[in-house]
Amino acid sequence: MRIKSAILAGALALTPMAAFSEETAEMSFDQWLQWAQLGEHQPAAEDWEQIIAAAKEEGSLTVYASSSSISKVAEDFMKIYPEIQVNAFDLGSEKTIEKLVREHQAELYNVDVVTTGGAAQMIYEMLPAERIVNYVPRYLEDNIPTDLQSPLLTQMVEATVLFYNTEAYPDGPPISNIWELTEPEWTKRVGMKSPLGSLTTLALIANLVEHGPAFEEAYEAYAGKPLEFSDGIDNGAYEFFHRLIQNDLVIFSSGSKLAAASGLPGQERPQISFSSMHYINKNKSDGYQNAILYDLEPAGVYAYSTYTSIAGRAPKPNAAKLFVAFQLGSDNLTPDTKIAAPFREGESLELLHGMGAYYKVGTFSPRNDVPIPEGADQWPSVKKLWGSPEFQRDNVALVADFWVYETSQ
Amino acid sequence: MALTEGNITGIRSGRLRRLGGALMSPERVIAIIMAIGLAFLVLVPLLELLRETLTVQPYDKAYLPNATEGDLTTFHYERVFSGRMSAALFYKPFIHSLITATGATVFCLVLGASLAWVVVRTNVPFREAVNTMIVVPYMLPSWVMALAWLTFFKNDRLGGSSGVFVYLFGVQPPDWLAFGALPIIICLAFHYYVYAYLILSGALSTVDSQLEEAGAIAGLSRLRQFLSITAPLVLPALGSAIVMTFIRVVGSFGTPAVLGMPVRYFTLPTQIYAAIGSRNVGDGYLLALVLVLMAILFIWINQRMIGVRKSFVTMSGKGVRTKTIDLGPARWLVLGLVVLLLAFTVILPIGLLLLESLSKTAGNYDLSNLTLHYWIGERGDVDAIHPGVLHNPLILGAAWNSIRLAFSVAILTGVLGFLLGYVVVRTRGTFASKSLEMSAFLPYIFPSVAFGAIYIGMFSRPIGPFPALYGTFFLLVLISSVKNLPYTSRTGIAALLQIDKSLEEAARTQGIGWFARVRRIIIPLASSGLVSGMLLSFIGTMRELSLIILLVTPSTAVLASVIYTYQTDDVPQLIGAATLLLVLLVITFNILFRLCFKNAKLGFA
Repeated sequence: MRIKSAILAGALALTPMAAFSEETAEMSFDQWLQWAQLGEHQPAAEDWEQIIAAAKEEGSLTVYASSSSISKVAEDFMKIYPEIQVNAFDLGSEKTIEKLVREHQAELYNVDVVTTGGAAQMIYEMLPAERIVNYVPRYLEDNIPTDLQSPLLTQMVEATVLFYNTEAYPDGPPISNIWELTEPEWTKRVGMKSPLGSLTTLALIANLVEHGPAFEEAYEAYAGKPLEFSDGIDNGAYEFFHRLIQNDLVIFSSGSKLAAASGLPGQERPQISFSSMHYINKNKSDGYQNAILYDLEPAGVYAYSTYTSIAGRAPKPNAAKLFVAFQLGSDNLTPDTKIAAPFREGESLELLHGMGAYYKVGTFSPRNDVPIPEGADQWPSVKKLWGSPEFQRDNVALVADFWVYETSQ
Repeated sequence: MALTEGNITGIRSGRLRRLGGALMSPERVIAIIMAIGLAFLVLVPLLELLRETLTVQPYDKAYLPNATEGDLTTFHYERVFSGRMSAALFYKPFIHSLITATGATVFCLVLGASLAWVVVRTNVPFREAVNTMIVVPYMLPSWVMALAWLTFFKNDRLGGSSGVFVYLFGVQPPDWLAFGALPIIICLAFHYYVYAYLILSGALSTVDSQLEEAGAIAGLSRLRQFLSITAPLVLPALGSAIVMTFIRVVGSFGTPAVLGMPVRYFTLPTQIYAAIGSRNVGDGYLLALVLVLMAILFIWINQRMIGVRKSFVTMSGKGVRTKTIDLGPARWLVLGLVVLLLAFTVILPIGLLLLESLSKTAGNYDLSNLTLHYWIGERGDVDAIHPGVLHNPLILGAAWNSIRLAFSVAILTGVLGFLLGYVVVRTRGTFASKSLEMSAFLPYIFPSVAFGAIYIGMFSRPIGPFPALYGTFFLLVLISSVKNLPYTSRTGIAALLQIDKSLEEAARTQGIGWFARVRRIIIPLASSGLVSGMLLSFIGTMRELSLIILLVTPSTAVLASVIYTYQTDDVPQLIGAATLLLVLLVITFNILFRLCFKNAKLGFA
């Protein structure tokens, strides 16, 4: 007991040092913030040498993440900081949050870094409940757009896009307005992952619904007359999905199959798929013929964030800070830095750090001072639709119900 | 008497009077311990589940903006069972579930019973090999069968590559053949007939064919012999088979997801998965409770049926002789049919996995595209990121963990299942017996993810003398054992029902103690049924993912969780290779189990 209180006393004396989950459980949240130098206690100028030294002292950290790439990031982290053991859990977005919540409810504070999408839950459930805290390394503050670092730091920007098959349509995109997909020409030829069970797809639909007026305008531009709503629908995007489902939309249970469905060569009448943008990289690895419908009314790129954060009462706050900083890439990058493949070795890794595992089209850094991966030159200028976490929070349940109802008709 | 109708309650009360109540009988003591354990491990999570359906969840904000999280509400019940959403959320999926589960159960029973009869009672060639092969489909993850179906019958609805059907016949198969109820029923049946087979072959092999001969001497026709002698004797096992199969099938997710979703044929499990996946646990758990209720109903009906007919004891003190029926030349035809079935359920899916694991780029089955990289390759030439399974410390470590876990679980569930079966049978007819049987069966239908989540809360702090188990390997063993207990408790009950109590009583009159009686009489006789249950729980544990994914730590990663990672990572070659490794391990251990079991039996006899 005496040793524990000594550690606690030391902790409260603002000396960052190793502690264990029982100790952080004994602190109040504010005491922990102060001890970990987070939140309002984050120093205006961070001493990274001290943080790195303290992180090595802590010796390990635990990460819960929704993406399987986290194990690669952990591996790369240990290449640079071999003194720090990373225990990375790849859990998927729903289980990441489930595990975090259940452990905290049981007053177990094991996890240090939480990396996942799900804006509404991260920002409106986890953040206010003190299950996570936002942490932005000071040196990155000027290089990340405000809305990508507050209220929560975006670790990477991803997007859902529409793929078409360039072999079947060598003369360019088969459609220029999204409403064309509701025509008989595309009956049974549009594919999408089920939003039920996939928070990302659910958020995608919520994003489009938030931009309902843009869908109405696009319809008018396409049909030359105002959009007429079906019964019980009062939003352009809802109406779009209503008609798309009526047009026998094909629902997939797996995202990777969608890229094959539209992109596999040798198909007579390939479909158009709503797909995660990063599957475009399968063109190279699997010989698919996908291209992205960048020029589409009202928009062809629907962007969303994957967040990273430090877990509330994390027992290893310094290692956690170092890991978050690592995820965002090194300080030595500039937009013109030339990066040579392979990205997860040698000099490239020294420069990219945790970005190495994601350095490809479709998983973009939120930073504006880093080079853009090859093949994504359009990315900065292309028209993107963003959804707001607030709208998502208030509408996800309605969107899910809409979907359940419409697809059962 | 070979056929004894056990009037157990009477015997028990008589014996108690004899003992004068001085000592508590062993079955009583075990019953009490079991009841406490099960109440804690099964009923507490169930109540927790119920509580969550009755409280406001964060997800409900859109509809209940003014409610506080955790408040009592009937919101989920109103939504799911009445109102605009109910047809889509509950009634339609429920009916789809009933259709597919009933169809698949009937199909499973027909397949399982015919195969059991062929293997146990006929002189079909290569009986042992057939016996081993028949259970292989169950060792494959259930989605493999669905994928095999798609590879064959896929039409242009899903885009991408065409199916074999198109290649052979040049026409697109219709949607009803490619997706929806019919393929779901067939694929589920090809996977789950193993339950019926294992349970019925276990029971058939203990039926003394002298009984049938007696019937023949009495002038009964073959059909009459079957209907009035064999069928009633295997009735408890048949009931078990129906219950096990139906409930398992009605709760299965993978196959309906793959084959139903493209045509929007939703079932209860796909709705549950969807709801829980959106963190809409209120609806999700409520739908899960419907499944739990269905399971209870089924067991209750099963108990009634067997309760009315009583149970027949087939293991008396006399020798059992199982006569094989000579099929004559027809035995080759029967073998041909069995091989044809196995071609669909074993060779095709395994061939697909193998092909997948040997492809350089996934989905390209060209000869030039073949590689052994994903088996024996080092990181580098073919794939810069993933080494082959035999060079992959992650996969090898996970394989070892899976074996340790599954083995511990098989042993633990074997012991628990036996004790439970013993207690339930010896106190049969009492309320305690019925509730024990029921609670041991509930985990079967309990949604795995919810189980894992609730166990985090229960075991994150010390309970009495036990330390906090969260994060330990033992918790994985415990939760997997609870989840797989239904296999061994069912088979334990079925096995013990067939053992005549007079055997034990004869021993007791000679002054042989309880432990010796159990060890030397009951265990040897019940072991055949028990081992098949242990095998099921071994296999179930090897494949289980959602149950333990919340509880594993990187050092306790198991094969299934590694396969899951490759699924999200989309490396079909490694999925194929790792799945085959899993299947190989299961088959190897299956054979070892059987060898050990045979030796054990010889030792006891």
